[in-house]
Parts: sequence; C-alpha cells; structure tokens
Amino acid sequence: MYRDNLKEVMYEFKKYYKDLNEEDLFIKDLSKREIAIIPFENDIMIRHMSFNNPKTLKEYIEKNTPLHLYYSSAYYREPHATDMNSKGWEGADLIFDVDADHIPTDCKVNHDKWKCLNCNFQGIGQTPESCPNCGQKKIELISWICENCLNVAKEEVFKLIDEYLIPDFGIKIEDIEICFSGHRGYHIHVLSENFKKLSNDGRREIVDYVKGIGLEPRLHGLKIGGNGSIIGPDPKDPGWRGRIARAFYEYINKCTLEELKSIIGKSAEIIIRNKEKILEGIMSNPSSWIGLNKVGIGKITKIINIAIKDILCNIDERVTIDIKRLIRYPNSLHGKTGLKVCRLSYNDLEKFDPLKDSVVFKSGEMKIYVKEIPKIRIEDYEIGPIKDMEIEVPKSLGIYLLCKGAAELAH
Amino acid sequence: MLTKEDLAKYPFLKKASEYIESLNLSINDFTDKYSDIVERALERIKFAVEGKLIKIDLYDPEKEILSYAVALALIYGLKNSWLIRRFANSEQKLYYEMLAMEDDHKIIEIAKDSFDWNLEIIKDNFIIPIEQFLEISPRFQAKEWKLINSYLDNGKIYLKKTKIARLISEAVKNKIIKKSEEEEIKRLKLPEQLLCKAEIFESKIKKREIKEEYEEIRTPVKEELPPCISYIIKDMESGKAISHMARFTVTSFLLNIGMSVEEILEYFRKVADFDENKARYQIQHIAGMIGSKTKYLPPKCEVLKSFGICIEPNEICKKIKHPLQYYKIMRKKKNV
Repeated sequence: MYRDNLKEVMYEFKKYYKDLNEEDLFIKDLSKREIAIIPFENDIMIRHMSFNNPKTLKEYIEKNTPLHLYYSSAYYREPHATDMNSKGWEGADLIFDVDADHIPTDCKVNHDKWKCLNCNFQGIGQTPESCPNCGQKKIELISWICENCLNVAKEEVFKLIDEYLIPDFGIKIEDIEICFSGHRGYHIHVLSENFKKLSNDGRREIVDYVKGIGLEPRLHGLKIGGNGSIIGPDPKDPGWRGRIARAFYEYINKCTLEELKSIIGKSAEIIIRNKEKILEGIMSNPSSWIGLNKVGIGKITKIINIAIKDILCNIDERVTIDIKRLIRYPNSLHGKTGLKVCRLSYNDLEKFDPLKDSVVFKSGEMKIYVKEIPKIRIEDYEIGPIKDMEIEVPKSLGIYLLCKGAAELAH
Repeated sequence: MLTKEDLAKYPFLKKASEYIESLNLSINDFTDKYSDIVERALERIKFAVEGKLIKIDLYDPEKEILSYAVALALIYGLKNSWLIRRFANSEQKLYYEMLAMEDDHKIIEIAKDSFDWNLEIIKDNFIIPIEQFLEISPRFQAKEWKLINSYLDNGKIYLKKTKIARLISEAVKNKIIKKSEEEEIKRLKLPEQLLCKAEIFESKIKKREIKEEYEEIRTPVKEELPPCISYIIKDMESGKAISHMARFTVTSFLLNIGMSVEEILEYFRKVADFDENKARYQIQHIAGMIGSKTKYLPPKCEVLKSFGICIEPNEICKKIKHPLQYYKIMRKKKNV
C-alpha cells in the first residue's frame, strides 16, 4: 500500500478499534495468551505481549493500531516470555483452518492468479503445490474473496463439525467456536478442556482422521469370509467403519462402468452387473456385502479409497498440528481486506453472509483508482471485472480494495 | 481394590509410590541395610540388560515394590540413556504380559491409579476417551494404532484387552523414560556404595550398546521394505493368519537385515494363530540357530511371484531379482 492509502486505512481501522466494546475482545483465558500484532508502520510482527484483561488490550490497540491482530492458540504460564521455551506451555485449543485456498473450486480460474517467485512462471486458478515449471514451492497467490468459494468453505465447516467433531470426537456444540477469518475461510476452535493437553503428534492423528490419511479398510472389518465371500462394515456403524460402507454404497450407486473400469479394470463389469444386489445387500439389516466375491479385497479397497474423496475434510493441517499457533483475534480487522474476524456460534453459521456480516465500514463513499479486479461483491454492491478505472464506491469496498493493494486513493 | 500383591506386580502404580513414601526411606538407607532388596533391584536390571523377563515373586510383595524403586534409582543414577531405554522396554514387556492376563476390573483400576485414565467396559471391549488414547497411541508405528483405523464413537475408542494392555504398558515405559529427563532426576547422585554395585553392568552395557547401535541402524523403516514384505507385515499387524510361504519370506527377510528373533516374534504376536513356542522355534530354525544350522535367505522375486506374494511391484522392484536388494538400494539412497 502506498503511504496515502495506508494512512487512510489506518485512520479507519483506528476509528473502528476506538469504538469497539471491551466485551468484544473477550477470549477464554486472555491473560494466559501471547498477543501479537503487525503494525501499519512496517511488516515486522511485535510478539510476546500479554494483557490481563480486554480493557488493557483495548487501550494498547487504540494507541498502536494493528494492521493484523493475533493471539496464541496456546495457554502459557508466562505468555510474555521472549524465549518460547520459557513461556511454560500449559495447553492449546484444538484448531481447524478451513480455507478456500485449500479447497479446489471451479471459479478460481476466474479470480485467482499465482506466480512462482523463483522463475516467474504464472498461472490462473487453483494454486499448484509446487511450480510446474521449476518445481520450487515458493508460490505467491493473488486471490480474491469469492462468494462461491466462501460457500464451499462453509459447507466444509459443516462437514467437519457434523460428520466428525460431534459424532466421532464427541465434542459438544457449545465447546465449538467458529470464526470467519476476514478473508477466505473459517477457523474452528475447540475450547473443551479434554483436548487442551494434546501433543502435536496427537493432533496429527486427528488431522489424518479427518483427511482420511492412512485409512486401512481391512482394520474396519473388511475381510474375506470362510467361503470366499466378502465381509464388510455396516453403514450404521460409527466412525470410519460406517463411513467406509456409506461411501462405498454412494460410489457404486452413482459411478459409471467407465469410471469403475479406470479404478479396477475388468472386474468393474461384475459390480455393474450386480449393482442392485450389492446396494441392497449393504443397506440391508444386518448389512451384507454380497455380489462381490470375484472382485477381491484389494480392488474393493481401491474403490473405497476413491469413494471417500468427497467425505474428507480439506483443512490446512499445519494449523491443527501447531500447538503454539498465532491466530486471528476475534473481532479484529483482517489487514488484507478490512473485514471483521467474526465470531460465530454453530447456530449462526447457516445464516452468516461473510460478505455482508463482516463489513464494518458501512457509511460513506470513497473515490478510488482501480488497477485490476475480477468480479467482486461487498454487501449488495457488485463490481468488476474492471481495469485502470477511477470510480466512486462505498467505503467498505474502497477499504477492501486499498487493503488488497488493487486500488489507490484517487486524487 | 488394589492389593499389596497388585502393587508388587505393578510397582509403577501411584499407590505403590505412596506406600514407599509412607515407609520414610531414602536411597542412603540402602547402602548398608536391606541388601536383599538391592540384590533384587540389581537382578531386575540384569534381566533387562539380558533381554529376559523377570518373574515377580508374590510371596514377598514388599521386596518387589521396594526393589523396583531402587532399580529405578540405580538406572537413573548411572545416567546411561541406553540402560534407561533398555530397562523401560523390559518393564513394558513384563507389564504387557501380566496385564493381558489380568482381571478386567483390575485393569480399570490400574489405569485410573497410574495415569488417571477413565476406562470402561462394554461387552468384551475396553473403552477409553480419545484424548487419553492419543497420549500414547502416536508412539506406535503400526497402522492398527492409527486413530483413523480405530473404532471411535462419540469421543471413545474401543479396544480389545491385549491392546489396552499394550497401551498401559507403553505408558509406563514412556513414564520411565520421561522421568529421566526431569531436572531433579538428572541431579540425582547415588551413594558410592550403591554405585559400585551397579557398576558391574558397565562392561555388559558397553558391549550391548555397540551391538544395539548396529542393530538400531538395521531396524527397518517402512519405506525401506519392498512392497511384498510390507504387505505381509501389514497383514500380520491386522491379525490375519498368513500362509507358510509368507511366514518364511518375512522371517528370513527380517533376520537377514539384522533383526533379532525376539523382535521378529513381536510381529508374529499379533497373528491370529500365534503360538509363541512354535513361532520362536520356527524363527530360530530359519535363523540357523537350531536344526540344520543353515541361515536361510528369503526366496527370489521369481519364486515370490509364483506364490502370489509379490504384490504391487514398483519401479525399484523392476530393477531387482531379490527382495534383499531392494532394502540395500533403499538404505544406500538414504545414506546419500
């Protein structure tokens, strides 16, 4: 951001933090958390701060307007200690990061670009893990908030909570806090004491669980019976057992012969021929995996591995595994968008419209010069794609574009 | 109710430490008194060093309880990390054997007392809260211990008795090792008289240590194993009975990359039709320790193919004729 733009954004942020209620800065055990900010003046993070209560924190951020404001997922005995080892780690919230960046969506070709910082190779759409040209992993992403991506992310959050956190992990709804990140995704915080002490190894197991990594259907009751028949789990079984059976059922129900052939070759014909019988068998009570005798365990396992793809959770595993993560502060502003990090309960999520409900600069207009943007919407205002154009827009959109660096104040 | 005999069998229990504390003894008291307890403690360590399991003497529970504490003090005092690990391993094996045969309700009490775990029993399964399971389970490499392959419902993991025995015994092992890293333990100084007695292990330890280091390099990492061997091991870990040919292949392979009979026995322990004596005999036979005294090599790839043991060969498999070549190539790669 240029100086003038920065000043303008800072002015608005400052006003926001001044008007903020102390209660909005309430978080569980604030005094045990490390607080960090990235200031407007430079990109250097100021870390290892701690505040006893929301009041002192508010006083600080009123004076030192943050471009970004973070707190630690961890609870420390001495959160202000500058050496990580002397902070005295006491536990950490279990956090899941669902971000549109990690979920492939069709619309990304319309609004996302990426560039390899090593060889300058560029592309549009979903960012590759490594540069297809030079193989390096230093890739810069130029991404935009998009309604479709955010809806997909929201669905992902529901999947994580409804299919995994509640039934399998036994987490209570009131222990789950959801935060819209202010950009492209959601953070799911599990505040229950049970998970607080988990090591990063333990958290990795949870990541693997929701991402389907290392699944072994043979350990979930898939086996060969005495007469060569297949025995498999019941769709009504809890956890991955039932999930395997349901995914297999769904996949066989909707797949074509060609798709199936690409996975298991000629045996696909047996399955398609016996389709009705197989589906009926799996759903019957008790479940029986009939009609699969000649297919074999190995091939059924291959089908299962494909079938579960849709029911896995696309989360950023680094966030969950890290037991000392700095994460965005609820009700702070995201410095790349000017949108509010909104704290939501599970019941709020369905109705939540991130492009409306996280907007804070609601009144006034702004004259800006737009460099290049795809089609975007903030509140009910839609714009783009446009390029090299001076235009008057609502302040919320103006701040958003200034934060993104896609526009400048018009003179 | 945990009896004194229970404390003797499982001296890691908090109740056992409380009992010892109530006696108001210090390590210095053992320099000229209680020589039988010191002897027993030394014996306990000796068994661990030699890789043998000690038999608990239930006729003298007090001696067992105290000697465990003295043994711990001795190994911590010697400050030899190999010995600490070795002792912890040996204790783990001992408790596994006993817990697997233990009365269900006793197991629940033991888990509660020593680790504050809240176990319950439903039908013939033990259930344990997921967060307590995850304290220990990531320490196991086998796929059957991954959370995703566990039976999980509403925050509870369902485990068979042998697995809960493994989990508890591993937690004890973990505790013994973790404790050695505490500052207070690091500062621990043994009285000279006791140190002298424990030093008889020094030469033994040195010899073992060298061997172990060598063996440790040979402990296979999953990626270093050819797919055929990985598959057999996976089957074994899932408790499946495996064919004679598969048994021979995996045993001869693991022996030839330097694993010991006991270590290989651990793999077989999970197999459905496991019979310890029979399995040990077979492994020793293949190792050339008994019978024809020939150490067998695993079959060539060609033979494995004809027996249907060659599964999903990969790029490296195309270059080799014998499964051991695969291991050599992978090890070389790793060392580069």
